[in-house]
This record gives sequence, structure tokens and C-alpha cells, in this order.
Amino acid sequence: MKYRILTILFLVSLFSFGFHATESQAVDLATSVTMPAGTVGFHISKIIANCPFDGTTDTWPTFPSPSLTSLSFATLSELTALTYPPCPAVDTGVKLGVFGPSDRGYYAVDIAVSGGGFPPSVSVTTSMPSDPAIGTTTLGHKILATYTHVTFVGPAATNTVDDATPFGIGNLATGRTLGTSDFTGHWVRIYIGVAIPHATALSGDDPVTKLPPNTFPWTASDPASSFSGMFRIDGAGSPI
Amino acid sequence: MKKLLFFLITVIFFTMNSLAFAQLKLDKYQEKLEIIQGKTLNGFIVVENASTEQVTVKTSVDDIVMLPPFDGNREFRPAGSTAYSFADWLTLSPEIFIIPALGKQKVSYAIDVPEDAKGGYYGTIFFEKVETAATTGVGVAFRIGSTISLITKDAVRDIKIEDVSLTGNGIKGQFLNSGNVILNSDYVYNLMDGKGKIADRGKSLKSFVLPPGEKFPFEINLNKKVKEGSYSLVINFNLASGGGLSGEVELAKDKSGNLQIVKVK
Repeated sequence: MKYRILTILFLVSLFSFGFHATESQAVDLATSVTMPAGTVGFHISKIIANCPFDGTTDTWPTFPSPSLTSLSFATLSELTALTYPPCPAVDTGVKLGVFGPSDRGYYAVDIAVSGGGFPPSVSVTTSMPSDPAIGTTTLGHKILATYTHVTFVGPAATNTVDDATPFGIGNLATGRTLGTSDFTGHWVRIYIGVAIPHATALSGDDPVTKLPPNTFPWTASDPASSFSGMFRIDGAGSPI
Repeated sequence: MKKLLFFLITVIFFTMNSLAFAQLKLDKYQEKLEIIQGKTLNGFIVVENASTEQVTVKTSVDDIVMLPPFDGNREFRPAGSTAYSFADWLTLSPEIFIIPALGKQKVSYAIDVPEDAKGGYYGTIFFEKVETAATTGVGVAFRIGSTISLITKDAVRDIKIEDVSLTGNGIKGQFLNSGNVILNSDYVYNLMDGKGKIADRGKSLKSFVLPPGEKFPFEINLNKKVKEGSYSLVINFNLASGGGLSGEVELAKDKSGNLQIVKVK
């Protein structure tokens, strides 16, 4: 019995010694903590708004569709000529709050995370050229984003989802960080489109512009020009 | 049950969109490493291409800044722009590479730690699929990154409880990070009477990620059934990096049920 115990102790000591010797040669670190692998996936769709503009009868691309690689908002001259025939009036509704340029298109960016015990957060930020019509602000102030939580409500194959729970509406100039709770039990969908004043100011809207604070509508006084920019999704862990 | 449901939803979501999602996966997205001044730290991150197409990937590094209210809200800033950046010490290899469909690539990093390093240093190594730039409109850039926390051996982890005041039936105050590393933590509290018996307990609803010198507000509501007497409210912080810290507030409750703060330790 003593022999067996001594043998086990010897082997344990030998293994421990060998392990530490190998580690100290490989890297100069004493301790480390690593969180497990994680994935952030996204998919971008373009949707055509139909009358009435309430987000319930819009035309989505045929499923499955490839993810878009850019969000085209055409040129400013096209945007200032913005019309929505044959709908008699623009009513952006409570659900979306965003609509696109002359082809009545807007975008849905789906973001989901998986893996790991501590989901990464996703930062959505934009970097766009300055718009001379509104001074120091950027194009992001004229693009609205509506953040919703999405879950399947029917068989997954039908792609029937519930996204009627917006949890944030704002402009894209300052970006937004999404956290763990935003991805618990659902994924996040961001509707992105041109800022058009709501028919009636919503809670949190500026009562005059009927848009979220620091958001500006497109106007006829905006000078015509092409523009470009970047919509960025960054998925990463936090410091530990 | 909820976790299982979320897992199933996520799996279905990714499976259904597998044709469209161009995914990069990392083997780690958070890592804490202990560093030694004057030494070089070597490591690697494995990047996996989960799509059925070959992708070209470029690497970059950003500084990461935690923003109020310090509940995980953060911002990525240009490399080397913050006081606790390690970007200038970092070498990545390879910096740009091609991963075949469903393939993997090991990216090595070397970090030359200067002699005067002290405390915590932070940054995120990003991997981004190289896309053809959009000629018009707003381009879309997607990056996935591994956030690395470098901590020197002599780093100070410390939390002070400040600005404590009474609420209706408890206390509120602020946790001050008085050390020199970012603290990623949640907390539990135990209210103990003079005999060490627990009269009440609870936990934080959300964790905080608090940089040095910053404060995070807290509020603890105690059970109204706690009887008259002297108590110690012990707050234990569970650090995401392992280990813990604690703070203590001495309280007294009189016959009328009024709470009093005796001492904050």
C-alpha cells in the first residue's frame, strides 16, 4: 500500500514539475483566464415598404437571401425628392419609425450571438462624412435605427418571427452598445432607414421635429451630393 | 428551460441563415493574462471560417474604453489612444491571410512588456473579412474580436464603498475602483447579526465593468422583517477573472425600525 501511495505521489510530482517547466519556457505568464469561444453572426435584408407604412405588409426578399454588403441610400438629390406614391400620407408608425429612399426600401440588420458563458456585446457605430446642411453633425443624424428583439413565434421553417418589441430608437451618429440581456432569449434586429418625422411624436421624440433627439429630417434645402460611410458591427468580449 | 429555448432558437437562426451568414469564429473572445515587466508574452488566437466560401481576413487592434454607467457599455478607439493601451507593444502574425471554406488560421501575437508597466492594460484584437468597398452608399463592416486584459503581477485590485446613505429600507452608495485594473464583477451581500447569523442576503441584478478611479452606483434593499440590533452588511465581489474582494457596512436598527449607518469599512 505504502509503495502504491509513494509511486502515485512521485508521478504526480514529476508531472507537475514537467508541466511548469514546459509552460515557463513557452510563455512568460503565470496565470491566465480564457472565456470560451463565441460567435457573432449578422444578416442584412432590404425590405420594400407597402401602404400603409406601418411595417405589417412590407415585402421581404425571398428566403433564404444573401446578406447585403452595403446599405444604399442613393444620393442626397434623390432623397430630397422623396415621395411615397401611391400612399396618400407618410405614417411611419410606432413599430418601425424608419423608411428608406425613393424606392421605399429600408433595411433589417439581424445580429445574433452564440457560444460562451458571457455573450459578447455588439457595438453599432457609424463613421460618415459631415453634412454641410446641418453643420457639424453627420449623416448618421439623418438615419434612424429601431432596435427590436426577435423570436420565432411559429415553426422555424415558416420564418415567422415576432419583432414587435422595440427597445430603442435613435440616430446612428453615436452608435449603440448591445449587451448580454439584449441577446437573452432572442436575437436583435435593427431597422435602418431615412429619418422621416413620425405622424405623431412618440415617447422620447422631440415634440417639434417628431423625431428622436438630435435627429434631423431630410429637407428640400439639403444640397444635392453623393455620400458614403460605414455601418460597423463590432463583436468582442469585455475586459476581465 | 429558458437557456435550452434560447439555444434552440439560436441554432435554428444560424442554421436557417447558413447560406447568407459569412461567419468568423474565434476560439476565445476574452482573455486575461498576467504579465511580467521586461518580458515578452506569446500567445495565439484561432480564427475559424464557418462559411462555405474562402475569405480574406485582416487583423487590427483597437483600444477599448468602458463608458458610464459601466454596465458593460464600451467604445472601441484607435490603437494607442488611451493611457492603458498595449497596442504599441503588440506584434501580430500574420496580419492578413486567407482562410479556405470551413478552415482555420492560427494568428500569433507577441507582446513586449516594458519595464515600467504597472496595473492593467487593455485592447481588442479584431478580425475582419476584407470586402470590396462600396462605391456608393453606406458600406458595412463586421469585425469580431478577442479582448485581452494584461495584468502585471503587482497590480492592485481594490474597491471602496463610498457615498453611502439610507434609503427607505436599505442603503445606497457607490463602489469606487481604487485599484489600477478594470474590475469586471457582480456581487452578493450578507447581512449578519452580532452572532454571525445571516439575517438577510441577496445579489446584484447586473454586473459592472469599472475602470480605475470610476464609480458604480448600487442600492441594497433589506428585508423589512430584519429585527432590532446591530448588523454587518458584508458585500462580496465576484471578479470575472477569478477571486474576489469584499467591503463592509456596519448598520444598526432601532425599535422603531429605523436604520442607521454606523461605519463604512
